Amino acid sequence: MDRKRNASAVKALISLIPGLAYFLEGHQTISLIWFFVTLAILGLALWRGHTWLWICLALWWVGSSYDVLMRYYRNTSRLWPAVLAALVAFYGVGWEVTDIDLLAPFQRFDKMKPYLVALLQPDLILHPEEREVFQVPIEMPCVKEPQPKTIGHKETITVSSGCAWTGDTIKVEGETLRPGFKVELWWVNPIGERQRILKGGTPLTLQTDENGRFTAEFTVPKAIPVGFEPKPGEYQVHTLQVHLVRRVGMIRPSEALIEVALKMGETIAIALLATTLAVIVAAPLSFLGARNIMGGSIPTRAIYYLMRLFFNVVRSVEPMIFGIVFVVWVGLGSFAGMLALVAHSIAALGKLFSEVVEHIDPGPVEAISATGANRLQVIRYAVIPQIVPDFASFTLYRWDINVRMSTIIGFVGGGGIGFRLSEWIRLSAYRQVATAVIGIALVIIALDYLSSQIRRRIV
Amino acid sequence: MPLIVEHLTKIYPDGTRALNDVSFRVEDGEFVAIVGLSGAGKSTLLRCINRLVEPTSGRIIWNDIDITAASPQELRRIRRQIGMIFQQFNLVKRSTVLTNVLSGRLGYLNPWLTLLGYFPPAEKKRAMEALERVGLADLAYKRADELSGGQQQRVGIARALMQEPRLLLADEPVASLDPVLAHSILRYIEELNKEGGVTVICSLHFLDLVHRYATKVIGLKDGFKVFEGRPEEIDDRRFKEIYGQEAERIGG
Repeated sequence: MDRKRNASAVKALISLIPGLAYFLEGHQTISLIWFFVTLAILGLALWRGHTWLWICLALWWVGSSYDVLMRYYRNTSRLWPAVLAALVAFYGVGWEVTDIDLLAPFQRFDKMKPYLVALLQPDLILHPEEREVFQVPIEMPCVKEPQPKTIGHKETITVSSGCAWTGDTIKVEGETLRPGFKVELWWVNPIGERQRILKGGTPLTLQTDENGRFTAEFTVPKAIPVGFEPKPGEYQVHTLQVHLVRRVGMIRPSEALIEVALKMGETIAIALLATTLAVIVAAPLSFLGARNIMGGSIPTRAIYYLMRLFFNVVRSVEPMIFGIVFVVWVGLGSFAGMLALVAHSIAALGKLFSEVVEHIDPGPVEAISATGANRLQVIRYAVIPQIVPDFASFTLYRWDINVRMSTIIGFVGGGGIGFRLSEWIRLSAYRQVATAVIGIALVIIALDYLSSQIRRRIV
Repeated sequence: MPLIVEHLTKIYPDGTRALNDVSFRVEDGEFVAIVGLSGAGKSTLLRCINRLVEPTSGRIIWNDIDITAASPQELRRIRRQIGMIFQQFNLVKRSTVLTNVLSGRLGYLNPWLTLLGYFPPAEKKRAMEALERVGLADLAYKRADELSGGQQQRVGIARALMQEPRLLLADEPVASLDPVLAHSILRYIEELNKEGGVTVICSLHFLDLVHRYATKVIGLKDGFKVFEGRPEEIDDRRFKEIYGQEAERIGG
């Protein structure tokens, strides 16, 4: 009776220490997980200091003891109360540290609007045009009585007043100009800042009639340079520009479009070269990182573990970090970008390839070994035929990834489309950015289609 | 030049004792059937003979050469004279039938040329002859996985033929096949044995096949040799020794 009570007491004690029961049953891994989760929740509670985290910790503790007691007395596991407590703690802290504000994307939408509008108007085509410019000096402000003013001899522009102030209305008329031209009005201040004259928020655009006439009324825009205001009794001279515009010739691709096409080609080439070099290195290395090839003896197994370590460490370094490293190492440009892609791809492909090698059917390897073939012959005749389709499809996929990566690497000076894209973003040239984004998307879609076709062929 | 197996023991790293002190002797030209339940050690025994599995202790002597003590280079020279066919055929599925057959010859050829995929014309001719012997010459350029199971096993036999073997190890060669195909495969092996004088060691499941083809039987149970003798010596008592008290004789 006493022994039985002692046994119960021991079981109760064991259940109080998270993970101990599993350790005693020989499940070391589960025991360790249990132990570290306890530490993690404790750490979070100490760090953030919230009451609810301490409650979670207590619930985790109770849940874990409950699980162990269920194991001892009911022969079943009840994991969910403990798991739930742990999840609440982790999600709660995650929510808190990320400062989640679900309304911000809606409330601040107007900040994003101009960029979105620009992105929806990519700079794709250029329409060559013929432009004739008439300049009418306007004094600001009026120091004399306002007088109408006419410039030109045969082709004339007349304004209702040769002087004005911000907000005044001026009437402008053109006579015997060239018929059928578009008319734009621009305002240029004394330091050369130019702005299009608007009406109701949109650019004012007119057309000369068959006699070459047009009439318009506009409001003088805010154009006095800051810190350069005219002193009382003095005036400064602004210019009203009347542009006669006509489109001539064919539509042409815009400069940005040509640039995107060229740089995209460059990017694809960088990615292709990087992928090829990475495959040349990764394919042989992958055999050294495959357990079934290297498991034989202790030295080969040591190489296997080193290889796995190398793949995992290098793979965990972001290509962008490699980009920075190589820009410092070999200088700004495409070469640095390519090396960054090669470094990351070797590790990523090496790992995938070695897993392919590990999952081959061992039967043919056995059969070819039994014929007296040497190790290289076994690889050539039993292993390689089995791995070619997977190697090829992983390589194509990597190429696809590298095209996308090289746009990112361009941001750190690694050449290709990314470099130009980062410049345009810095210059706030959002219409050009839109062109680049569309170009990248089209190329990725095309590559995806191409690689799926090739994969279907070779598998 | 017999095959002598002495005190062969194999313990796998996980502690499984697959073979326990197994000894026997096989004379040239014999057709030896190895029988026993799944897990009795039949596959391990066959694989110890060409050292696809390293024996833990014991010796295997063939042609006065100790296979268990052979260096890697000697081992390859020994292996190329020992053909092997498998329950799962173990063909390279994505390679052509011809390439699969040619690969049986790798142990005899210049390794560097074969790495480039080059086989001398004489070897290709030999491979086509081997395929003709198993009746598959017209399928030489098909991919191996396009063939039926019975055809694949015949390719396996052709691959072994390329080795000009003096010993053929067959690991459950008909267990994955439709029973009606079993005789067609075993007849090719018998032909090799009777006409080519090739010693055959073959693990088999069905006793009727053992009676029909074997000249000698070795029975294994839990890694121990429990029977060695002629097929007709297997009576009900011996049968239960090999297969356990629960087993019932079917067929043969």
